[in-house]
Amino acid sequence: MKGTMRKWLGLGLAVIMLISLSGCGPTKEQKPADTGQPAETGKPADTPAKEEKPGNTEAAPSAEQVLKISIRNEPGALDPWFNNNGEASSIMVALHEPLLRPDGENGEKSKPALLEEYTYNADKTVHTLKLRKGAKWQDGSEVTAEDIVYSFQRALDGTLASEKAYQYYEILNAEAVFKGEKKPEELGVKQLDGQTIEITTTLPCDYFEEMLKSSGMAPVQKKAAEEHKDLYGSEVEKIVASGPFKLTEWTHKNSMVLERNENYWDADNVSLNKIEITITNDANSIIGMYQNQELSLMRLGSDLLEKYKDAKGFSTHKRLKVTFIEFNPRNEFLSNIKIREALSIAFDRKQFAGKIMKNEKLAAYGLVPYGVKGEKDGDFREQQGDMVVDSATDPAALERAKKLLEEGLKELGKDKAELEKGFVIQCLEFGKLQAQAIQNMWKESLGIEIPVTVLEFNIILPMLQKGTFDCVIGGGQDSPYRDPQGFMEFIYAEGKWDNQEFKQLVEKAHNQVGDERIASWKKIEKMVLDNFIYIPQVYAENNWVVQDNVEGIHIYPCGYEFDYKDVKIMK
Amino acid sequence: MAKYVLRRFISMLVTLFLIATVTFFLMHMIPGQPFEVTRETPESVRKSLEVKHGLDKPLWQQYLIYMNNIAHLDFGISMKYKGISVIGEVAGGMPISAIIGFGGVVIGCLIGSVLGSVAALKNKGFVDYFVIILAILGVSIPNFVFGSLIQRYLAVEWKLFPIQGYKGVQYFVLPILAASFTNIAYYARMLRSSMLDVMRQDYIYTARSKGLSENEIVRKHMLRNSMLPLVTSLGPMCAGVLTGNFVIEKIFNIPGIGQSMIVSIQNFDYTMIMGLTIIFSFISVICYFVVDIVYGIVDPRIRISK
Repeated sequence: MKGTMRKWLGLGLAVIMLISLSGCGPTKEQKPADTGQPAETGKPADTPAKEEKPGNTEAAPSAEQVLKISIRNEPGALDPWFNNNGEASSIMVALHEPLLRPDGENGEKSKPALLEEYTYNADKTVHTLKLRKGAKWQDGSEVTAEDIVYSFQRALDGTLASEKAYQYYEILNAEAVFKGEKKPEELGVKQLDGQTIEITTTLPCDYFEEMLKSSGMAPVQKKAAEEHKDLYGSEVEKIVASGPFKLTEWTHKNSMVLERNENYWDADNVSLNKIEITITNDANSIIGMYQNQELSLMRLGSDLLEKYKDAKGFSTHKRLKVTFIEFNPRNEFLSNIKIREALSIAFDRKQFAGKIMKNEKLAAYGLVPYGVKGEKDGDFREQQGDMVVDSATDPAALERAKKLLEEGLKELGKDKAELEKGFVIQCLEFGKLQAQAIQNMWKESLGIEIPVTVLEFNIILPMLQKGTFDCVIGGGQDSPYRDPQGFMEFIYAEGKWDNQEFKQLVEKAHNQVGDERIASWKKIEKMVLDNFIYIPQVYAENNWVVQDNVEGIHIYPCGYEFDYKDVKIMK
Repeated sequence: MAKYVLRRFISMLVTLFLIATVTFFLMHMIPGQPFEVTRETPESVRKSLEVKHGLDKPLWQQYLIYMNNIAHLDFGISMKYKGISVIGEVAGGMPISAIIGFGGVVIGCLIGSVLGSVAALKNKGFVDYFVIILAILGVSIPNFVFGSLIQRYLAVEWKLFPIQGYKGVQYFVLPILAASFTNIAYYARMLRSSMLDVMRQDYIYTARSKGLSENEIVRKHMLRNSMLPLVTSLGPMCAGVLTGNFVIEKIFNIPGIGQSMIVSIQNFDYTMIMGLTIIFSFISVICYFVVDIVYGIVDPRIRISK
């Protein structure tokens, strides 16, 4: 009796459970609509991985033409003039046509985009832009010179407070306009006629063409921008762009969909119908999605590099960036050049690049990477050569380092124990391994153990800006343009290093053009490195795997990383 | 009862005031800055950003302005995401989090209770050992491991469900499954032990000696009494549900409130962090309050003692 009762109870509960479970179904179905999400997103059947065989070699374009990508963080807004998010800048130029687009294998040249022509005067202070005739916004209205002038004025409107306003400070009166000391009309951006705009820079600007290529100068429509102010680009309906694609769906912090813009001036040469963007930084999801062809390409961190380096579609792309160890010359111990030199000698760059970055060739011997403009249009780094030497494996050099450290400490009247408490190594979470490797090198070669502290980027940043850090590892400098100035200007701008000779030299370079200017920056690089404040670590590269069916994707080392305009999806 | 409710209400307000104050000052004590800027950003640009977001004023002024605003239920707008307000984020994200969370609790609670009670009734039987093992697994496997595991097999390898995203019903299956896993184990273990405890009580013997059928004993005496701890735990559980399941939302890319919290912490988004913290604590406080009342309804002893 008892036993059967229990069986009955178990069965009954199980039935209740099943009923309640099936009851969950309909409620769940209704919920997505309730939350105000786009209704047409709920197409159940088409999402799980499509089994397209990538192995087919017949080069016929696929009917679908959908590129699927992922980004790690959502940008604050899809507004080119306010965006500081590097990943999102590729999306900016997919939506907003830039003034010029990069051309050539590494994007070092430029080709017309919204501009038909760009000319400049002899001392490169007056830049004339000729707007393309017949270019349209996505709503079908014409792109006018007025729109472009307004885009600049808006970016320098102090009340809107763009995070990147300083990137336009090269333009005459820009800073004064931003601070409200001058009127927007006084900005050095003038409309000459319906098609011509003249931009005046305060100083000669050799790299202005590079700036015109950047995502940060992709114009926005005056009408839309005036209406939405700094909320331009925050929602689908708050964007009116002129690029190859237009934004059609945006679920915040989740996904975006870009579709072909029929009103684009070069729409005939755009093959893609759609770009589906997933916003996630979950590594497992991303790997799974790539494996199931739900992503067209995937970024490989150093942890995935080993696994994918022989995979199909693997590609390595240089990024114009140098990371360095940075000493704060205001720190009691690090103010001593002998101590800095000793620490620099004990840093084994080659071993660091090989073991930590998994690529020995990345070891950096200067503050400017390869691929930056040098004299006579050559390569800056090739001309300048190695500015620092790797001597950590040389016993004699290590002896010298130990002696330098001793002398340095003696000058300060301190000992090693005090040095170990005198400063800390600071790094970001992803730079922890790098910091520990360097900590270990200093311990083995010099016998000092410096503690490592991991900090968040938003904490380290003000420390760097205010000069309250000790020794930051893995920090780096990239430049929005291929010019040595972009890699060293920040040292001058921050003004932490009180060296008159250095300041004068930079100011001299600011007023020069052409090879003279490059020559000055070469001297500046040497001067900076001879003082052992910045110890170059490695050059940067990004590694990707790309699905076989993706063709025509441009990956650039400088500025925005991807140009999706020419992408074709093959069968 | 009215006096009791009033007293609880006032202490709730005091709690919230303290939370808001402490969060505000803690946030501003942490070094760091909330804007997405680069290293080269000059003073003039940083200054204008501070002015725009009111960070240039002395701290006490900022505090007064902030408290005044939240008294009017204005929690401010995000410092990173243009045009996103704290209230908007909560209103948009909470229903999504609630689907995942309640789904997890309801399914977890049902399966867990069934397993738990069967285990108790069939003490030392197969189901019992199964429940014990499940409970150990459920407690010891963190949900990010279990979430990633089912994502790997059910979505990536076997392609039964989408890997991530939020575009329809089938996108909810894996997150709810992941959310319910811990709950199943938790409730099964809880019901099993509380039921075993109840079975040994004198009133069960009394009921038996009265000649009640086994069915009635289980239904009216055992189950009802063993549900008591379950009700207690449902309150905080529901608060947790509304405030989002951080890990699961991140793994399956669900734009819920947990995701918002993670992102705002990563961004140092002052207004978002403070706003969400205060709203979360508000929800918790209310949930505990409701549980106290529900407890009184379920257990007559508590009702009488008040």
